[in-house]
Order: sequence, then structure tokens, then C-alpha cells
Amino acid sequence: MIKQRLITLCRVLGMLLILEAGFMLLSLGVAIIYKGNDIVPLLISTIITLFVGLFLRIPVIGKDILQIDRKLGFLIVALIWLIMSIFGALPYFFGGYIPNYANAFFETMSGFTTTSATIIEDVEIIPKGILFWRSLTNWIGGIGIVVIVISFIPFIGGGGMALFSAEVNGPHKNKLSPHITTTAKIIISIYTSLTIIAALLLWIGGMTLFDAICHAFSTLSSGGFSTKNTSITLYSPLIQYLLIIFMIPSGINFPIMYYALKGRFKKIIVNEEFKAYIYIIIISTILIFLLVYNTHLGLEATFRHSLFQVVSIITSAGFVSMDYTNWGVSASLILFLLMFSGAMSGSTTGGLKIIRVLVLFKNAKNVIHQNLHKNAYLPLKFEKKVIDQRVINNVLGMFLLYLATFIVAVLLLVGVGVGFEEAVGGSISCLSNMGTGFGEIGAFGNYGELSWSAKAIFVSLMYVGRLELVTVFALFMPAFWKN
Amino acid sequence: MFKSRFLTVSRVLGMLLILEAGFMLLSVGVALIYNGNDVKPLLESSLITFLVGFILRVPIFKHQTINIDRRLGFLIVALIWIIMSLFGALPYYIGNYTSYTDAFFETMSGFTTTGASVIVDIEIMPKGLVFWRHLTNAIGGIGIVVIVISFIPFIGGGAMAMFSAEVAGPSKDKLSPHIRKTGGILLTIYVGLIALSSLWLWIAGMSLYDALCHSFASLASGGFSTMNKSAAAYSPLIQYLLILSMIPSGINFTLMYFVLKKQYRKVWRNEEIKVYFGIILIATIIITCLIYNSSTGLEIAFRNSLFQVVSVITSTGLVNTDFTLWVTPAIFLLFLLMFSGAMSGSTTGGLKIVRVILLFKIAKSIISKSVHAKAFIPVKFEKKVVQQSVLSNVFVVFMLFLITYIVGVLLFTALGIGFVEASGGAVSFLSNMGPGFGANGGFNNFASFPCAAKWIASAMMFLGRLELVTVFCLFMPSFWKQ
Repeated sequence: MIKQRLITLCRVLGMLLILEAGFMLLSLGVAIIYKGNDIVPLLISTIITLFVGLFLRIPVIGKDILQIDRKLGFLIVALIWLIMSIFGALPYFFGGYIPNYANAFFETMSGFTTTSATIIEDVEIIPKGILFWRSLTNWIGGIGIVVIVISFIPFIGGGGMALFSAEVNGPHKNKLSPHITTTAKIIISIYTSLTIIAALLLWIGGMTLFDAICHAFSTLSSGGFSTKNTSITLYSPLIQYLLIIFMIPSGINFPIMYYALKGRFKKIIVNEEFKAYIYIIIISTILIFLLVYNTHLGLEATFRHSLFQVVSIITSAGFVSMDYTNWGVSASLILFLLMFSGAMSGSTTGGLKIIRVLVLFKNAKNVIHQNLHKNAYLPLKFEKKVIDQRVINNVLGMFLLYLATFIVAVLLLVGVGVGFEEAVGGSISCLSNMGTGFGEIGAFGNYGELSWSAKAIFVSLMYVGRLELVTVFALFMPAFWKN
Repeated sequence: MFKSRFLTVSRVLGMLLILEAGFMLLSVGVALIYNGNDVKPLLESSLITFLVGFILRVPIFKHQTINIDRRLGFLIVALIWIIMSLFGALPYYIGNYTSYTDAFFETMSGFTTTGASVIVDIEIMPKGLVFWRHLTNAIGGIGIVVIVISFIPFIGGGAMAMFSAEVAGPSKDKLSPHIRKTGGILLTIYVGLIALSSLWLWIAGMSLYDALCHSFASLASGGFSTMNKSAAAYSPLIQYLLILSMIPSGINFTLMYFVLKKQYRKVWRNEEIKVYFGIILIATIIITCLIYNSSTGLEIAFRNSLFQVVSVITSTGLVNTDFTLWVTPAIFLLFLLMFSGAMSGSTTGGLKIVRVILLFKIAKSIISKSVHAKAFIPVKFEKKVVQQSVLSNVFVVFMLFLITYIVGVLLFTALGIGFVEASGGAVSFLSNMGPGFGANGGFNNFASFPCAAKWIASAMMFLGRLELVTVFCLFMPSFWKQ
């Protein structure tokens, strides 16, 4: 039984490594075009990854019956990120661009989890093939999380992930299609088309083709890697607006985008999470605008930067159009709360997800109301359907788990010597797969100066945050492994 | 209907004001003993408070039967704190010792047993006034327990909902079937402990006056001190005795009664008290290790750690060292303890340990859910499954607490207060703790807070204390019956 599982595990991971090698090949192509010194490192990395992948898929013993059960499902989902990051770090490492392998691993994990916290001091001296690979890790990570979870829901039963609000509405609502493969294909097409359109528009808007493609990769995936050290601060207002336009969909649920394409707008209007998403963006932008506005900056610029930062943070992208650490404590607090919240479930963003925030608020309102009018038992309604009280408890549980993880992380970080501001900002940033931070880490999200132990904690947060905590934590419970 | 409600409210408030005037009179007595310049202000305040209280009780209209329903109950309880503080501020203001804003802050801080102060130098204040200040702590402490008990007959008889036993489900661990008698018992325990504490502090070297004042502050989880340096001004022996005085203020009154009656098994079964002492133990050990340095020695590190942990978890707020000078992890731990508070059914503020336990269990259930592939996992407390209504309540209190905290920090920072001061101050007020952080930390106070912030702080102290009572009321099963 264990042997069968192990074999299936290897075969699945092998397949993914081969896929990864394919993407590395693309980067190799780019390296060749630009004739950089990264051709050899990329070539070697591709070959190694390909070989290991092929090796894992050799039918060593017995038939290849794909028998994925719950335990295996969890294990696969958890291991995918680790394995992909271990090999994905090779191009940086072999080329000497990130001489320390641990740092290279950090950068890669940051890419795949679409966090985009970086340890690279000067991005602009890195050859184009590697930069392409870097932005690609964002892109792969973004679509990867969605596709992987969809594929594995039947086995791991949701695993606590609020995909397509499955946790709240039940796993059978809001499905794009009853067939997993069809659903996955639709999602991938939407994702890819948007990426292409974004790249085109950014290129027309003034970016070089290379930059346009790379930024398109990291925008649609809610990633945030930029080919510039200064992120988006030095780009034109037009480019900044374009990026806002494309960051917004990265926070939207894929079914909603599908309905938009099919013209089924009624389904969109009914969606509470979507409405809340838009409202939060509007209100936060207004608040920050009021806090930040000064005559020196001007009306348009203040509006643009407020909107940009709000959208960038709520979609956990992590792009920066202006150094927001100068905006004052109140603004930072609002941004901090946005980092915690995240955008819609079933999108590429991180964080708690708006649907959970909505359920928590509605329940709070409901319970208070119930207590004042003791005769009424008011069931909680979400999109006109009643939500089971126990579902609400589950949502509360997730929220508490996030909070607890955050608090423990901050405690550990200050324990290893990280400044308090950096610990708080960095923790929420990595847990929500955002990227940008506060204090020394700063708006540009540079974690390079931190100690090894601090980086280890941050990498773990990114990883655990992407898998919405439960998937990883469950693996550590002995009860999970018994039958 | 409205008229009779209005009358009922006035009558109750009037009675409490008369009571308050009485306590002020006690302070007049102290002022006379020490021959301060506060005799006149205290006397005048007492007179004014008495008169208003008396007027409110004059039966202008036909005497209506008291008809207190749930909402009226909420209203009365809320108004009590505000009215008592409005008048309790008079001695400071009339005597020109502070502005009215400061006076109200200090009084609200006293009644809510927070212990945050805006007075820069307490040692130059006359003794009668300071005695009044400490008395507000004592009144506030026992007040919270007595008020709820007094209101049970109006809101609905029966269950005692303020103890953790009731949280997990209806239980047989009631003190006494007669609510008034229970109130009497609790009052006796409280006064007894104050007397005991005053005795050992006095024997250990404090003046009788200081011993009394500090006992008021410790047993009520208040935290006012007669010295600017709080407990740091006293000897190690006295500090240990103060720790001894603070610990009971975090224990559920029912349990203390059971200990007196030697019903130890009931104490043994209680999950909350085990966690209470467990947290104190673990936090003290961790902090001792963090703050230990060889030049000052182990005893000081241990004493400072234990004192601060106990002071913070019981939301007392006495300070025996400037903990803002500690290493960051230690300060952060203290900060976290501020949210937790001690046992339910005690005088402390904060979330209360029973809720913290339940919240942990809810979080754990979400992991268990995935582990066992079940849709829902029930939450258990003391081996019984917790009712949904209880979980809902815990949830709402936690959410309200968090939201109020965040709004508080936002408001403070918008008023120009630094982030550290704002975050520390906000939790301190909401949990009715007392000490601040950053510039308000150590032996400092909140005098530097802008005027508007002081009013917000007063509101937060009030909310922190009130929410507690509201929760008690909401908890009672009889609350839901007609």
C-alpha cells in the first residue's frame, strides 16, 4: 500500500518536474535571444530537472494505477511547492547570480507562492533569461495553485481551502463545469488570454516587450516580481493605470470572469463577495486618499497612488508605485488590514479571503441582533441562502488559525532579532503572499539583509500561507497518518 | 410605559449616586485626618452628588412597579459607569487639581479598574483625594460583580451566568440558590481579602494608608498606586506580597468560595483555573530567561517577570520595573497577555481565559476537520460539548474586542500618537489593564495624550468593562425566556 502510494507520488511529482523543465526551456530560449551568460546555467538546470522528472516516472515496480487517496492528496499538494522550488532554484544558483543556495530557494519559493519578496540587491544586472524565469515562477505559481487544488478537491475534500467559496457554499456550487479537466482548461485559457492582452497593452503603453511580458506574468498571478529595482515607481502614470486594470482581475474569482465573458452579468451582480471586493477597494482608496493628499503631490497623483497601492495590496500583488512607508501610521494600518484580508476566494491572491471576512462580519452583526431581540432566531444568509452555524465556526477557526500563525511568527522573529516593525509587516506580507513590507524590509520588499533564521521563518510563512495553513498543519497531526 | 422606564432608571441611578456620595464622605474623613486642602472639594462633591441622587429618587410621579426588561437593564448598566464617573470626577475638578477631561479620565479609569493615569505626580496630591482615587478602584471591582447579580432578578432569575461553569453548559456549581445571598457572600470574600492584604502589607512595612490603598487597587485588578514609581518604590518583600494580593483578583469568585468551603473537587475539575496558573507559570519562566542578565542576578529577573506577568494577566497594572526596557520578545509576550485577561467571574478585564481556551479549541477543530475528513468537529470543554449559543457568544465578544481595538489604534494614530503608544494604549484601555508602552510606558502616564484621545480612551475603558457585563447578561439562559 505504501509502495503504491509512493510510486504514484513519484509519478505525479515527476510529471510536474518535466513541466517545470519545459518552462525552464522557455527561459533558455530567452537567454539565447539576449545572448546572456545565463545560457549555460539554464541549460544545466533544465537538463537536471528533466532527468529527475523522467527518472521519477519510470514504471519501476508494478502497474501505474493512479490511486490517489486523501493522505496522498494532501502530501502531493504540500510537496509540489517544495520540490518545484528545490529545482527551480538551480538556475540562480548555478549561474552564481544568487551564490547562496538557501537564498536561491527563498527567491524561488517566493516566486511560486506568488509572494515576490526578494533577496536580490540589484535585479537590473541579472541576465534576461534568469529574469524571465523569475517572472515565470510567479506566473506558474499563480495558475498552479488554482489548477492543483481543483484537481485535488475530490481527494482532499477542499482541505480547508476557500476555493470558489466551496467552504461556505458547499463544494458543488459555482462550478464552472462538472468535469475537472474542462474546468481547468477554461481557467487556464482565461488566465493565459488575460496575460497576453496585458503584455500587449503594457508594451503599447511604453514598456519594452521583455518588461511587458515579465510584468504581465507577475501581475495576473498576483505575484509582484518586477524587472526593476524600484518596482513601478519609475514608470509612467499610463503604465501604472494599466497595471491597476490588470491587477484587479487577479483578485477576481475565475467563475466570475467566466460569467463576464459569457455575458451572464446577473450571476456577477448577485455575487456578494465580488461586490464586497469592489466596495473595499473604493472605500480604502478614499480613506487613503484623504490621509495622503497634499498639495505637493497633487490630486491626480494622490488618487493614482492610493488606488494603486490599495489594489496591489488587496490582490496580494506587491507592486509599489510610491514608497508608502512615508504615508503615516494610519495609512499603514489600513494597508496592513488589507494585507490580512486578501481578495476573492478562488483567485490567485493570498490572505484570509473576502468571503471569510464577510461571513465573520455578518455573523457578528447577526449574533448581536439576536441578542437584542431575543425572540428572533435569525439564520445567517449569504446570497439569500442560509449558512449552517457550523460552517461559520469553521470560518472562525480559519481566521483564528491565521491570527495564531501570525502571532507565533512575530514572536519567533523578534526572538531571533528582527525588528518589531519588520517582523509584523514581513509576517503578514509573507503569510498573505503579498511581498512588500514595512521598516527595513520596506515597500520594495527586500529581505536580503535578514539573518538565515529569519529568512527560514519567512519562507515557511509563504509556503504555509499559500496552502491556507490547514493543508500543511494537518500533515503534522499524528491522527492524520492513522487510518 | 416610557415614563415608568425613565422613572425606574432615575431611581436606580439616584440610589447609586447616594452610595457614591457616601464613599466620598469616607474620603472626607481621610482628608480630615491628614489635614489636606482637599477637605472642602471632597465635601462639596459629596454634597452635590448626594443632592442629585436624592432628587432623582423623589417620587414626583405615582410610584410604578419596577419593570426592568433586558434592554432597560443594558441601559442602566451602561449609564451607571458614565454617571458615577461624571460625579466621581468632581473632587479633582472642584479642587482645581486637574482639568475636567483629566478628572473624568482618572475616575473612569478607577471605576473600570483600569488604573491608567493622567496625573504626572501623584505624591504631591492630598491624601484624601488619593484615597478617593483608590476607592474608585475598589468600588469598580466589586461593583461589576454585584451589579450583575443585582440585575439577575430583573432580567430573569435562575442561573448564574458569570462563571466559566456556565459557559460550557448549565451546571450545578452554583454558589447558592439565593442570588442576593450570593451577592452577600461575594462581597464578604472581597472585603475579607482586602482586609487580609492590607494587614500583610502593613506588617511588611507599608504605612496603613498605603497598605489600604494598594489593597484596594490589587484586589480590584485596578492598579492605582500612591507612589509615582508604583510598586518599584517598595522592597522586594512587599513586591512579593503584592503578587500574592493580585493573584486572587484573577480567580473566579465561585472557586474562592469553594476553597473556603473545602469543596476542592470542584476546583480541581475546573479547566480555566488550571490554564490560568499554567499561563502564569510558563510566561514567567519564558520571560525570566529572556530578561535574565548576570549582573543583576536571577532573583530580580524572576521577581520582575513574575510580578509583571501576574499584574498584566490580572489586568491590575501595578508596575515594579520599566518593562519597556526589556528585550522585544518579552515585551511582546506581555502585550499578548493583555488581551487574554484572567478567569471569568473575576474582577479582571480582557477576553478572559475561558474564551481564549474556546478560541484555541475552535482553531484546533478546523485542523481536526481535515485530519479526520469530517465536515464539522464539535468543541468540548471540561469533557462536555459546548453549546452553539456559547460559541456564538465567544465569537462575537472576540470580534468586537478585535474591531474595537483596531478602531482605537486607528483613531489614536490619526490624532498623532505614535504607533507603539497607540497599540499599547488601546489594549491597555480595552482590557482595563493600565500601563502604557513607549512614551507612556514604564513609570510614565497618559498625560501626554491629546485631549480628544483621552476621551476616546475613557470610552474604550468603558466599553471594555461594559461589554463584559453585557456578555454576562447575554449568557444567562433565562435571558432568552420571556
